[in-house]
Amino acid sequence: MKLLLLNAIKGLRKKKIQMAGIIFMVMLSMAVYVGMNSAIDRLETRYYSYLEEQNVEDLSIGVAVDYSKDVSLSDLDYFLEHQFQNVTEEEHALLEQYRLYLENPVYDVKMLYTIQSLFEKYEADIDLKTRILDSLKEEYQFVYEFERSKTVSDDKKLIKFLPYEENNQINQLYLVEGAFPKGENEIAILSGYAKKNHLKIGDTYTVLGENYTIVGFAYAPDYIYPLISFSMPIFDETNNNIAIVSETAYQKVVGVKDNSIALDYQFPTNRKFEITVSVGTEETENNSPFADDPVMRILDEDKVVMDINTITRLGRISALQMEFASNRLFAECFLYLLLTISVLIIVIITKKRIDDERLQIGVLKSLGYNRFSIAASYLVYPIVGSLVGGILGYIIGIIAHYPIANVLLSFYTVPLENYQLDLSYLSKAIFTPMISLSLLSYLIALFMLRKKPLALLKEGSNLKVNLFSRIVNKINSLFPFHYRFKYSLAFRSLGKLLIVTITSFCTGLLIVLVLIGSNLFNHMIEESFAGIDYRYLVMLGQFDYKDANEYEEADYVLSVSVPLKEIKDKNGNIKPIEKEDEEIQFALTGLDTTAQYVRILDKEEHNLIDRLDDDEAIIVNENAKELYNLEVGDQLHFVYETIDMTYTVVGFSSEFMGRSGYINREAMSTDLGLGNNAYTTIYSNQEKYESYKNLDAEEATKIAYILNMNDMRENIEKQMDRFNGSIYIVIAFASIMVLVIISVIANIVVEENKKTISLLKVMGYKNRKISSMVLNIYTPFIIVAYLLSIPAMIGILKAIVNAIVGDIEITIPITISPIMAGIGLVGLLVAYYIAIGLSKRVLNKVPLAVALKRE
Amino acid sequence: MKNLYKLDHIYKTYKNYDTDYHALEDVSLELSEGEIIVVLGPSGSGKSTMLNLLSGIDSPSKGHILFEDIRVDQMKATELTEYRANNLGFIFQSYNLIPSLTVKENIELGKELSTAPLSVKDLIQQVGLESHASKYPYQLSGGQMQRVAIARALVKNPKVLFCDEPTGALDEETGKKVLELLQDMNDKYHTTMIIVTHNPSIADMAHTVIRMNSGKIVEIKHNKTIKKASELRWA
Repeated sequence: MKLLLLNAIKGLRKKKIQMAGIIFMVMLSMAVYVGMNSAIDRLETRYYSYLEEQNVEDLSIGVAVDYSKDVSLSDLDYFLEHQFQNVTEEEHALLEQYRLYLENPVYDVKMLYTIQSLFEKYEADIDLKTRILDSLKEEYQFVYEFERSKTVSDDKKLIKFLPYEENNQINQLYLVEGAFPKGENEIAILSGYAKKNHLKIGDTYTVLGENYTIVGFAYAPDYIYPLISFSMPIFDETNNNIAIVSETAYQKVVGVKDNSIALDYQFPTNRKFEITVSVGTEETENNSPFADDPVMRILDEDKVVMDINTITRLGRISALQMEFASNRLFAECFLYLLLTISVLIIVIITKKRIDDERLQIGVLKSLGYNRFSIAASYLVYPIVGSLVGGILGYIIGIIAHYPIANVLLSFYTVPLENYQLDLSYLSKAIFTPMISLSLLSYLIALFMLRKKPLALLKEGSNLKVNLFSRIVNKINSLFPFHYRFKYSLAFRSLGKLLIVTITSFCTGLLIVLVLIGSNLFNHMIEESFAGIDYRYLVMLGQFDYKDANEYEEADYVLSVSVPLKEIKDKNGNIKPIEKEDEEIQFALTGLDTTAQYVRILDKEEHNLIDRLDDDEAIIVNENAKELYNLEVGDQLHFVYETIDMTYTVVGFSSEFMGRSGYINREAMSTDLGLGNNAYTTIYSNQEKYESYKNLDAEEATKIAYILNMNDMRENIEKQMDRFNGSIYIVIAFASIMVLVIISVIANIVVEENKKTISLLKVMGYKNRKISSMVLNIYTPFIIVAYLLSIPAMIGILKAIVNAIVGDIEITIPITISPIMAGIGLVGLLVAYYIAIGLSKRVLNKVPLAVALKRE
Repeated sequence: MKNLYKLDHIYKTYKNYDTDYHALEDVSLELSEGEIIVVLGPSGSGKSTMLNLLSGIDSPSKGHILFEDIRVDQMKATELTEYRANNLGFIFQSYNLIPSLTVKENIELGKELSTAPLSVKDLIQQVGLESHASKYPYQLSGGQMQRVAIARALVKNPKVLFCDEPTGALDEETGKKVLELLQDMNDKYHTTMIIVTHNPSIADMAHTVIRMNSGKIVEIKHNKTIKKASELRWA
């Protein structure tokens, strides 16, 4: 046994390239695993404690005040005395009209919407909402706070202003360094923004002409992913900031207001921010989708609504959790992929050694050594490989976790836990590869050593050609000799062929994944911004009223969600609607036929807007068409509150998300009881929307938010540049893996075929020809494996997308352009040919005398 | 008969740590075209070294080797490769067939090197392996494998065939058959055959016998009568 081990150790020195390959793969897999997990550990530990320490909200809600029922005359008197002291004459008249309504209610949609806007303008709605929340807090066991913010755009910068409230209990601000602002001109900002803009504590920070002194760096815990505005959906550390100022300073800030209500439950919640939705069945009394979720259950209340803030805030707080899950999954998969390849290589090396030493083994067995002790001597390779690779990988992983954590933190604002040495990773780094590699190579060795001594000692016992090779060679016989020779050699060793194919397939999957991602983003950018001629999308917080004006650089659009009640075909027969018991919300959009910027394109890219000349016409989207099997001439019947609206289908727009319909604005506004010129959104190129400072006070208060389409596109394209850059990094990384693995395989091929190579040299074959015949035998397999990875990855992504988006009607294009696919293949093949080129040097060194050696 | 090879005061020395090992010492000879030449000697006599030098696999420490008046010892690596490809064939004691190729394909391996090869089908017939053409080496006996090797070496119609202990791994009967085949090929194609062996009985079928010992030529004999391979008395 000792001699066998010594022999094995001596053999190690001769197989430097193969051992280096094994060590490299173990090291790489462990480095990624330890690095990723260490970085995530630091983030995750701190993240959950951060949520607890800063008392981050459990839920954000909206409260729907019903101005037809929830306000009494005495309430109105109170508000007139307190909130409505400085109203205009027109507003006063409206309030008097409202008083008459309260005395004698006759439903007036337009008036009620205008009253709502007025109450919100003068913050009279706060008391009403407080009353509603107070009536619910005992039952649902929560405390609440009103959250306020203002979004300001200054040149390319987007800043979210938050008021510093010392006594707030929910979403408590976190001080990173320095102090919170006390004075009117003091400010605390994000440390990442400060670094990127070369700012430090004590410097002056100017926003829209106002100068502030930076007194500290701080985070807002409800902005862990700091989505400041939908104009810049991807966080840009250089241009997006959170600014905390005193109350006095906050009141002076002119920006887009954003108010929401944060709830903190008094019982423990799991902080996983998952929504548990149970589908109601006939057996249950409660058909609520939130029945099983103690956090979301409150949304069943009539007065409580899930508004845009609910989803946005949830996303901002919980987005990091997806990073934890996805990065850990990636590290785990990567680890097992590389270990699998390492196992296959170890198996091949073991098999080759046993083949080479079969005579010695035969002698040992005939002397009485059992196969268990002989097999044990072959454990030297996996033990050395996993020990060295594991330790190196652990060290590199620990070092690498710092930049990994920093990369993650560039997208999130959350404090980082101090690094603590975790020896469990070291033991995993050593023992996981050691056990997997050793166990399998031991089992393979045992299997191969099962032959009787005589069989091993028989000359030529290793020359047998397996059945699969023979079958393939029969097919091969159709090709010229050069190819027959190459592929007979390739198929003779199925193990090596398997490794090359699996490696190419897996790296192909990785490359195709990033290429599809890039294509998807590029496509979504193109699709989203195709045909957008307007620069600003101005969303109002209330209805406003204006006729279309061809001289103005603006389109006025009315948007309302309305439940669909019935569909009839052109003959008056009712068409079935799925999910009968649920209200199906249709997004209706009222457009003027003179619209300049908004177009309704069908699949052939014809603008259908002229069809809205008919007051009863509706153009629905393709998704709705598919869902309800709609045809031109079908009638859709909607009911909004107590109002019936019926329209006839005249065409289909090429949009694949949700259910939407376009109607003539004047007709829709009239049908909704809003007069004939209501609108909720402006599409415009007017420069005044570039900054709130350019707007008059009245207009500014009506606006919920302004999307700057150019800024949005720039923001997304800037991130796309980073993403596109990372594509080449991924291709390079995948190519390096292929390079290493192919180099190892090529080295084994040269070793295995030394005698053949020497023979060919002796016979007079040139080195280049020999290399082509012996080394360059895997090109078609690599190409085929890569090509197979394309539909495989497309299939996997489609399955994932279907599982995630499920009921959401959205079509996500999962495609890859032939050029990008070609680039990926070129990357792989370049790595392959470099590996072959490196191995040629080894081949060229094979001496001619090997062929002359006598066995 | 035309001289094919001329060796002029050839020395081959190997350095082994501090000592020099003289594999060949002052070897001079001329080899004629179309002959069967047997190089005889015990183990370590230098016969394999001489084969290596004649075939360009190795180069002499001193002296000249001429093949058709061209200096082999001065050829570069690429020229040596061409020299072997265009002029030489090899047969080895351990056959050196490619296990993953059939009999026919192993012979084609030699054919690929030649611009005017012999017919593979004819050669298969001449070596008596028609019914084994699509078999693999592991399915053949030792003698059959050696016959494949002979066919592979001859398919490119070389001027010289080097045979390094061609019968070393074979029994007497099979060995004689292989030698018979070599003799037939020599008669048919007039290929010069240089057979390196330690079996003295093979000398009787040769036109020229070179005896070597301790790196030197001790005797060069030209046989007046050439025995048939089948008549050889095995040592």
